[in-house]
Amino acid sequence: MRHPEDTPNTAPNTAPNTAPNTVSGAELGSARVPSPIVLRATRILYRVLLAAAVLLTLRGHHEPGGGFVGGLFAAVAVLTVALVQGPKVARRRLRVTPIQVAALGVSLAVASGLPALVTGQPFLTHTIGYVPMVGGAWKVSTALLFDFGVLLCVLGSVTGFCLRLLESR
Amino acid sequence: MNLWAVLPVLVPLATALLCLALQRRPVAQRFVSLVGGASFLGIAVALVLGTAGGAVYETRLGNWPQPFAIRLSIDALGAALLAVSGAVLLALLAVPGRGECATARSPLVPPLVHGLMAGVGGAFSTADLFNLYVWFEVMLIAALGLIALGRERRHLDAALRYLVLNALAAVLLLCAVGGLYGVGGSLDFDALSLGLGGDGSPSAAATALVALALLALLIKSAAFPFGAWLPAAYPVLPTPILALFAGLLTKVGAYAVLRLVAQVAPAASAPLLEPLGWIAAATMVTGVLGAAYHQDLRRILSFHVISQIGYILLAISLGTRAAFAAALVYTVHHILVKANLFLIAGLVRRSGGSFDLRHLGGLASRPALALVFAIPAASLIGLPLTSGFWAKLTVVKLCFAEGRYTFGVLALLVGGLTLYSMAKVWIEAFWKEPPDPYYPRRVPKMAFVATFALAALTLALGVYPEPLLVFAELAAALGPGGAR
Repeated sequence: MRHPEDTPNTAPNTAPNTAPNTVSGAELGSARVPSPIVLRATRILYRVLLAAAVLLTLRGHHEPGGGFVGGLFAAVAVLTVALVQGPKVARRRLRVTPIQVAALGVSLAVASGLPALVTGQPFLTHTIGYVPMVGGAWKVSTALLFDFGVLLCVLGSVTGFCLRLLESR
Repeated sequence: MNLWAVLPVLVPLATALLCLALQRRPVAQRFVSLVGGASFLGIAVALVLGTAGGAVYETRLGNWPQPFAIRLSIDALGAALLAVSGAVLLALLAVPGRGECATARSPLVPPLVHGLMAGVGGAFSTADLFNLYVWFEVMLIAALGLIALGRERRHLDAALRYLVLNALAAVLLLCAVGGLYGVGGSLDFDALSLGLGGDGSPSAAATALVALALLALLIKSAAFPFGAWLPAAYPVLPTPILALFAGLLTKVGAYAVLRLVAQVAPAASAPLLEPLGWIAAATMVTGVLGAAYHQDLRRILSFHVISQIGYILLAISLGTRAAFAAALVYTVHHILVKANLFLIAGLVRRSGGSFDLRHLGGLASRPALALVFAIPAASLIGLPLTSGFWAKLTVVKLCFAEGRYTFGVLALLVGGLTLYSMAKVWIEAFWKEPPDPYYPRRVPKMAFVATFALAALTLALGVYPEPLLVFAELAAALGPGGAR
């Protein structure tokens, strides 16, 4: 099987131009340029890993999983991009700084405990509600908000450390 | 009840997050930071007033049933320490000016300071051993961030030293917590106390695990011979942050020792009190000797932190209720005085241009600075009419009453050496002719407000110590087995 772009005469430095949404070698700041196969695979992997992160977080409600593992998966997704296309591209994918991601996560986690205080219950007492939607009633709880807070907190801190390490090379 | 017990954690945490969001707006950030600090102090004072009437503020996080829930429980001991922590926090936030180095100007300082306070608040409120470990980690992360913010080689060097010993302590503490859970069947202070045999005869395993936990906490409180990280890490910090570190961090370690010995494992720790006493004595002596040797004001004061920790641990090692009360009185006094001395070191630097006694001189021509230094210095030595007098007096008196004459004499001797080292600072920095006629410079009056407030508190406790002594007596009745 031969990919149309995968001709033997293609010089390595022209490869990025054939793949959309990628940066040139000069912007990467290194002579290393990813092959189009790796680039395409990264894009797929990025989405698969993010979907896995969300699924794991949702699953953590009753089965092994949860916000922490989900956060690690999401971080791996971002770091895959960072390894292939450079930390600059990965930072652009996050849109905000890793510290802001982590801070948003902690804010969500704290906020999830506040409704209980209003009703006079202990902090972090979670309430579960059922929202009618396609496929029957969906279970929605403040614990879910807490878990997504944990996800963002882990994602922010892990990517924060790792991107800085990658940039210091 | 549910609300009050979480406020010492929630308020600094919310303040930290808000300060982070306001990174690009320094004026708004400073305002939020001050309001957060003032609310923390206000809540803590309210808790003190409540617990003085015998109330205990409790909540079970997540409303889980008793053996599973993490319990936050603020009793008189926790409330007292929260209140002095709040006073120190507000004082250092109120210090105006741009600070003496790049670290102090970073917009990340307020979020990290309040993050550290969330850890301190959590440690003083929790009644769960594993949760206590978590709050130590929160403090460690925030403290590490504050040390490393400078980004120069010396900051990273200090951060590494701080990290290595404190991370080792964290691992040891985690092992001990896991083991104690295995032996005692619970992590809740009260349930664990029963699980470890209450006041009866504890197993050898329980004693060994308590010893491991104490070892970890002694590293955290910079006791001899594990105190090397403190004078290595502290002097790279700008003085307002240094005041927070010196005032609070090691004291949380000492507080945890007190909880463990007095409340969680009174019987299991009984055979460990004798070695703890000797470690405390060695900490007192080595700390003050280091202080007598050094010339840099920040290093002198850092070694005094170690020396004073020795007094607190010595009081705890006596193992009676009166001794626990003395430990609390000493901790309250020490936090107020030590944080203030570091804030004053910052003023000395602003006026005299240096922290080094060899480059300082003539500061006595600045009467406000001289006065504001003299009060906490006298209190540190333990002169009458200051809080230090009552703190030292109770500890020394108890040593003699318990027949521990060696400890009592050592405590007096260390007091003498403290006098020597403070006299050295006074003669070198205040009386000596200034080496450079350009100094001492004027310091704006606003910079003195916080230090004068803390000095006034020290004096007030010295002139009228009755309420603190009575409150400490009440606070020392800790859970089952505490009131021996």
